Amino acid sequence: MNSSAKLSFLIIDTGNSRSFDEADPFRDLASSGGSDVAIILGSDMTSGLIQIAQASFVTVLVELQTECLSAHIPDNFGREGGNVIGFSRYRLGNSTLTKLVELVVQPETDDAAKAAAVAIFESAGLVPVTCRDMPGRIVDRLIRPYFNQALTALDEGLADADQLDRALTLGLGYRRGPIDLMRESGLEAHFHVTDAIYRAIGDVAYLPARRAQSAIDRRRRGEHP
Amino acid sequence: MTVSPDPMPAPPTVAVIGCGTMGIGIAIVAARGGCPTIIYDADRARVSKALAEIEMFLAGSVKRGKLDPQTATDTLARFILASAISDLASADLVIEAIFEDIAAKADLYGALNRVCPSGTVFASNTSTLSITRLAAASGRPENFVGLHFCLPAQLMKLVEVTPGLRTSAETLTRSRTFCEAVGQIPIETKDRPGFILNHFAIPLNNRAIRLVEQGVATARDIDLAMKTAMGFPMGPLELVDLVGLDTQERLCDTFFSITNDPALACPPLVRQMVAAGWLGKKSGRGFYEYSSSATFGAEG
Ligand SMILES: NC(=O)c1ccc[n+]([C@@H]2O[C@H](COP(=O)([O-])OP(=O)(O)OC[C@H]3O[C@@H](n4cnc5c(N)ncnc54)[C@H](O)[C@@H]3O)[C@@H](O)[C@H]2O)c1
Repeated sequence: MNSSAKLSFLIIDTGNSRSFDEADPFRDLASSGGSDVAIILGSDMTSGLIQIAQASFVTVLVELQTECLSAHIPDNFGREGGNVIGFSRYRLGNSTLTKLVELVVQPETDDAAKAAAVAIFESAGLVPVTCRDMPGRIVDRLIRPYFNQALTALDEGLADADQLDRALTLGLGYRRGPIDLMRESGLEAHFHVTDAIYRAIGDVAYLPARRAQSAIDRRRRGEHP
Repeated sequence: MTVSPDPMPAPPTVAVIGCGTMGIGIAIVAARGGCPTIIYDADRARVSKALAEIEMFLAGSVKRGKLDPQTATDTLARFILASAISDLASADLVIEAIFEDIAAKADLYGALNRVCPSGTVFASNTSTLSITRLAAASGRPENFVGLHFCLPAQLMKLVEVTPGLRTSAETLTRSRTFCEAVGQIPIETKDRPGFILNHFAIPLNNRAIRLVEQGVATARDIDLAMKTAMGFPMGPLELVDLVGLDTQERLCDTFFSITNDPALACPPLVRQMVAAGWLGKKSGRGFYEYSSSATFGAEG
């Protein structure tokens, strides 16, 4: 496969993509036909659609939300793999999209499919990284317990919100503090992501912190979150 | 009764104990800030090696236009190399940065208490240990404070200033004044395990190590993901390499024994890397390979 062949891809849009909204310039790079690679975007994809794409294209890239790729591909007790790769472009809640694309591979995923996915996202100026098909992938797996801890630290009087953010930005060089980030991206969004990981792996570090649970309670009562 | 610290002269004479990753950086901050700075380490060879590293750091800062040559020369002239603990008797402020081991620190404070005048302030750069407990071992709890510098100390401005239960208001004020006088930003924290920074950083770094251990992603991809998505200046595994795998092991062991929090238990991979001699940047290999093992030769 030469590099221009790798770059040719087709988009199948099932609606409400979190990675590439309607106006995202990435969509302009897609061709209208004759491609080896299909990218299925959106939250309404079905396993049936993925199976058809698997049979019709050399490589299929499937946009993931909080779920694992294994939610779409039958289990084979550790020998899953083939021409389907999961991906998710990272964003906190509805905050600005970042350049990070987490690629999700399975134990026996084709090397050619991995290379095609990397080439497509890199040529669009994005930064792909590869991880195994685990809940939370890389960033949420690391950042959600950190957010939970920051919320709990407020409850436990470790420091106030400004002190926490100031200490972590000055001391660790982080661009923004955890409370500042959660103020922007929302407690409800944090709840949904961390709760999905908690239910999948059962580690209490991911159990949504009290403030995030309360935000959901308020939403359920129809009150302002 | 413990005697209140004498009003700290400006600039105070500072003694830094432990010429490892942190001690060297703290000594640079003190000397660059105008303080006569005594450096001491139980391992004598480390003292002269530290001075060579400091010289290299200052030369690098001059080369990059961050420090003028005269300031570098003056800074270097402020160092006093100690070969015995009795050489620390003239210090107004002692900052201890030895291994994270409560027994080793307690022994050291006992010896210091016999050598230093009763007004000398003792500060610990501990990451995880209780300031109140260390203060109790010092024999001068009123004149004891936590001064937790961040890595690399010569570049990062934050200092967590932590009073123990018996730390006097004067000691706290003097410690803050010292930090500000040498160009640092003090933030007062409570005497809780890990204060603020390590309460967050150690579990996050451990989780990143466990992702490598479980083969979820490579160190490079984990670091790249955190830098790209979250704007971290350095990935968690690059940071652990800089902290030192041996220090990470000690930090986890101490922290876990205090909290029993499984997120703070030392990941087995860390112990294996330490056993293999892969201590991070200082040994030339950790999660990454390095061509230079100088602790911070290239920065600043
Ligand atoms: N490395 C980090 O990222 C970091 C950051 C902030 C705070 N700290 C804290 O700073 C302290 C030092 O950590 P480090 O990473 O610099 O350790 P290090 O292992 O790099 O250096 C420790 C030095 O202390 C010396 N030493 C040990 N026992 C001694 C004694 N009884 N008397 C005199 N010297 C002695 C050793 O010879 C060594 O040179 C620890 O309390 C650690 O928790 C470390």
